[in-house]
Amino acid sequence: MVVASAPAVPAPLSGRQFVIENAAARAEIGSLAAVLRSLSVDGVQLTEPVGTDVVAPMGCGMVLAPWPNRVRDAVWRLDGEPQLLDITEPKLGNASHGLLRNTGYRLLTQTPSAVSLGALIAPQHGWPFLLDTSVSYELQPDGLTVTHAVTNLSERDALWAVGAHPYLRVGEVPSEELTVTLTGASRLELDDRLNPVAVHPVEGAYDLRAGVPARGLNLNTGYGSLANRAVRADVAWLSAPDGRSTTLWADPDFGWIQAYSPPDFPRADGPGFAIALEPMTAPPNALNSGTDLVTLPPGGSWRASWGIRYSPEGER
Amino acid sequence: MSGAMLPTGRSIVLDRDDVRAELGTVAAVLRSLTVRGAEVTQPITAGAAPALCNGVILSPWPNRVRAGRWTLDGVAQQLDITEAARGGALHGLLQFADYDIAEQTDAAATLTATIYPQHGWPFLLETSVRYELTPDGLTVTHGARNLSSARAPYATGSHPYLRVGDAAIAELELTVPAASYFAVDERLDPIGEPAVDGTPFDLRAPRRVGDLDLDTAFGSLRPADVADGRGDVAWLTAPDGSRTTVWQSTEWGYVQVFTTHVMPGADGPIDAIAVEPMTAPPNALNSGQGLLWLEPGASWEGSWGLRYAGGDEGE
Repeated sequence: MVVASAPAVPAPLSGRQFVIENAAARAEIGSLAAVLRSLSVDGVQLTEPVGTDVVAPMGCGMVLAPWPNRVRDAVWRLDGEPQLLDITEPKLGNASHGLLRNTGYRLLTQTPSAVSLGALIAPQHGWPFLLDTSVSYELQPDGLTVTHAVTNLSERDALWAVGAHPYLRVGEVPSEELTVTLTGASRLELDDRLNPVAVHPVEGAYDLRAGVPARGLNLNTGYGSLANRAVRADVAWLSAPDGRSTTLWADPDFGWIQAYSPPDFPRADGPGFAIALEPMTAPPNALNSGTDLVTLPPGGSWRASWGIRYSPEGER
Repeated sequence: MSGAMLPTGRSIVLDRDDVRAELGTVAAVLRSLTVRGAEVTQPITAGAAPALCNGVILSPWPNRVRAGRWTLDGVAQQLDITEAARGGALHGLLQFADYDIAEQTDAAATLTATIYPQHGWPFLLETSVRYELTPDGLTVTHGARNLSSARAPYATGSHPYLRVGDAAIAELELTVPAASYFAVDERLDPIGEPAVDGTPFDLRAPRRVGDLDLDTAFGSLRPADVADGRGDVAWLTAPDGSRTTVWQSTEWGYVQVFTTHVMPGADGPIDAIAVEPMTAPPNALNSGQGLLWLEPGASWEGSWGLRYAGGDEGE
């Protein structure tokens, strides 16, 4: 029976809200998919902000685990046995962006300038592993460090990959006016359902290593062979005409970036051009290719970080 | 209290007066139920995930949504496809969710889970499941509160496989006082609700489970022994007279019966029978049948339960 009919009390659609701050930086996080809703340094907005009462538009700010991007046909094989994942991208027939995009993470720890959120991945359709996962957001004087961690609670080896889906910006500078630099020396060729079919050296319009104007870019491309192959390094950045820049750095574990530049990202003032630079530990369809998948023994743990840094004029 | 993390999540044991239930936080699953040592449900194998949906909570809809598609105020909704073999969206959105433990005593536990807006489901719901031991079984109360700014549809169900102590499943006799059943197409989506009269789906008189082959929803329930807004909607009787009974509060108008020979057992596949209490029939998001509509801020709750009586206890 209907036992109560209180006045409407809409709750934030992005889940429980967390705000972390230090002297210069501020981040807002929602528990749904551990979403990074906003990041700013000295009042300069470094990511596309997402309202509390919105489910991450175009994946903005979500954590992608235990795989980023797609699994072709939502099918992969484990020890020769087909594993049928849920089809979460029915139009293209794929399984997209992991298993936690609809999960409200739990608060693990929180300080004024850091918050750590956790989520369990239970064995399910096409995914026979039990994983304890977490993501920690820790502010720095000039930005944010994001650390992903996982422990395999299964009695067997488990597979793991992770990514995140930030859209970067440099304050109020329109994204079309930015210069995009991406250190990837290789890029993936995709089929018409956006699954990779080949890896090529970057050339022509795909070569973003020297920096290209963002205006006119139509990216939905996975890049590899980044500048962080040996040590933590800057892997991509957006530069404004006035010299300010927003940089994505990553540990070597994050060997891939999906670059995505929709023309119609939904902003408060209407749809517009935006640039996602998605750090990923594995390329699209890695559950089938095996490329850069992490294998965790029973009880085994893994962690790695990426982050966003702001550079005022001329300091990058 | 909670111990190690299992595929069914954190474990909770309820134990009072020789009635014992084990729960898991993933899907708020009922892992086992015994009354005076007799198995009332098919226990989930230790260390395993629930086989064939054993014991899981189905929310915000039980059973299937045809092709994962439905329409809300004229707008097409596409849910994730969660039943690859048949192309539907099966058993709601919480089948692999790790519920929070909101309350836990020796004899009762309440688990809660939030359903966030997602593909094909533009609503925010706070849901709960409360398990409470009774002298002869278990009461399960499902709750939902609509935290969206628009009215939201809701339906729920549960997926227990029943046992009557150690009695062989095939030798049990099943009675379901239902006057109609849901005929289905090859993808198990409903195409009509005919009367059971003169069909193999008439379970109003006891039928031997070994003679049944069912994956069938039943409606037009005429519960037995109705009191306090609840009545018995299915019961299994063993040759020695012992009995396991499913009761539902009256807003639970449907029950799904599923028989199988391939439930994983300790020594290979075993027979099993699920009797699934449901507030709505299959494909209710399309038919509207049995669907609850919760206004913004409104809550709902409803109960079902299990009762066991030994052969010498009468009933």
